[in-house]
Amino acid sequence: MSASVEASLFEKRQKVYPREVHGRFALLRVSAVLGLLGLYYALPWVAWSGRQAVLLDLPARKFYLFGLTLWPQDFPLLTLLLISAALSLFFFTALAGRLWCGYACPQTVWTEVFLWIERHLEGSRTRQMRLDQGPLNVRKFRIKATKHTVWLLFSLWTGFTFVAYFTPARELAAKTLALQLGPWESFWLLFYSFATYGNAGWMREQVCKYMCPYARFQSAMFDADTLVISYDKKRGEPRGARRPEVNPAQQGLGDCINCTLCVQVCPTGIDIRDGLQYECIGCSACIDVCNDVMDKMNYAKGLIRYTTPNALEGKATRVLRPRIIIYGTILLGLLAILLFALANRTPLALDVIRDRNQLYRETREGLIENVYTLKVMNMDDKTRSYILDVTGIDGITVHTDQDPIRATGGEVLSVPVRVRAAEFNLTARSSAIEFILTTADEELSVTETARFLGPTP
Amino acid sequence: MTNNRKTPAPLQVAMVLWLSFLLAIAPTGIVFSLFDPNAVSACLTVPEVSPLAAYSIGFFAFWLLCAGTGLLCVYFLSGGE
Repeated sequence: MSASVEASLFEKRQKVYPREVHGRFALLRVSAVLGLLGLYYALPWVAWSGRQAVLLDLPARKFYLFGLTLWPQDFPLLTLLLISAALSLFFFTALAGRLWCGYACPQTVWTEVFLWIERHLEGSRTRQMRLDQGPLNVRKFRIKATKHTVWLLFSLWTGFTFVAYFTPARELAAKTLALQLGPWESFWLLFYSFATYGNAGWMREQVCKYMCPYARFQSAMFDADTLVISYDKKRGEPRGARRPEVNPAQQGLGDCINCTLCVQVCPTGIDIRDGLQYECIGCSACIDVCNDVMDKMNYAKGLIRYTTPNALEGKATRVLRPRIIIYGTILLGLLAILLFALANRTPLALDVIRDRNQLYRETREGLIENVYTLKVMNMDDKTRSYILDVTGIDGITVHTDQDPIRATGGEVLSVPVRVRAAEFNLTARSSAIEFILTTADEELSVTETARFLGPTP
Repeated sequence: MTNNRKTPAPLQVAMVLWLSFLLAIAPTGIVFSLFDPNAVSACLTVPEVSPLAAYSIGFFAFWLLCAGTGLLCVYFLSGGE
């Protein structure tokens, strides 16, 4: 990249005033915004089996996802889920370009809402520009103050919703109304609100252009068969204004009438006619507005369209190519492992902790006794009863005051147990034994190894 | 490679802070899935803090570490200017 181009990447920011656009892709984007933000704001209020459907309960170290309860022991599952999400991003980017950026990225969807608010209060693109250029007067102050107040209220609601994924929403709402929020809850509420207000209200396209790491490396997933938004230079050039009734061919013109509407609707302020640029977030606003213009001019639609660099050059586009097959195979493999792990997940865990005060003791009956504390984690939603057994030494027995061991859904029980064995059955100073915990209905079972200590035989 | 001297300093700081913010989420998740802050504070002679405070402080510590590393890299790559 030449020094002059680099320098121009960081020129003083000119505020972008994206013009409102209607069309097939705008409808798709609005649907994505409503669907995704609807999910974000509604989920904390959805109940599931008497509790919040999606709750990341940090104090209890449990993540509730509808019927599934994830424990710290399930961290590999969560990691697998995140890796699968990253790989699906790579897969869809290689296949269809920046779908994520254009339709689903939080920066895009929240900026879209902030733009709606701005447009509703300040008017169309031209009115907004005129308002910003005009002197500060009572009207301008009133409009700007109203806009920022609405933005801030919306940001606060967003921040509140974010915290509601970590603290039960109803409890949080009651605490907020009573002004009894804890210091960290208040901090995260304000932090997330400020981030929303700053990123979607002020930073906008700058986040995509300068701060987003994905925008910088997504080009590595592109090839000549990736679906991108392109201007058809062969058809459009030479560009120039003309009357609708004029035949452009007779005037030596292409189909582009140089109305610059594609630049005016662009949320990052670029000119798509300059070719594929990393600032293009693939929102398709330029496609919609150009199609409208083509309709009015009675030209064929698609001067700006979703296409591949190969197709633009008249070559065949290959959907199935090595990178798609590799990303797809790895993604399917990971999803299969994830589903298998989820289906075969045992909602029961056992930890064995040896009593550190005493290695062993001899009972009145002459048996060698070791003491342990068992941590029984019922990772299920329902109450379970368990049967405890121990093996590894002939005639070994286990004794506990809790019989049967009963744990309610999500409970972690501490169960002190005494394990006894006859001295003559010990073959070493330290023997391996196994604790076997089985549910009363024999549906689930876990085994945990431990050491049994005794005198030197 | 981008010549960092061409990038205004505030933008470089913003980039480092944002990237380190994203990166800090990973070690926070890993560390706190392995260690329960309640159990750690019980073993050590440190004042007891609420779990939310422990997670928040842990996250900020990782963010600070990542951001510090990033800022130092930017500083040294710029030739100490």
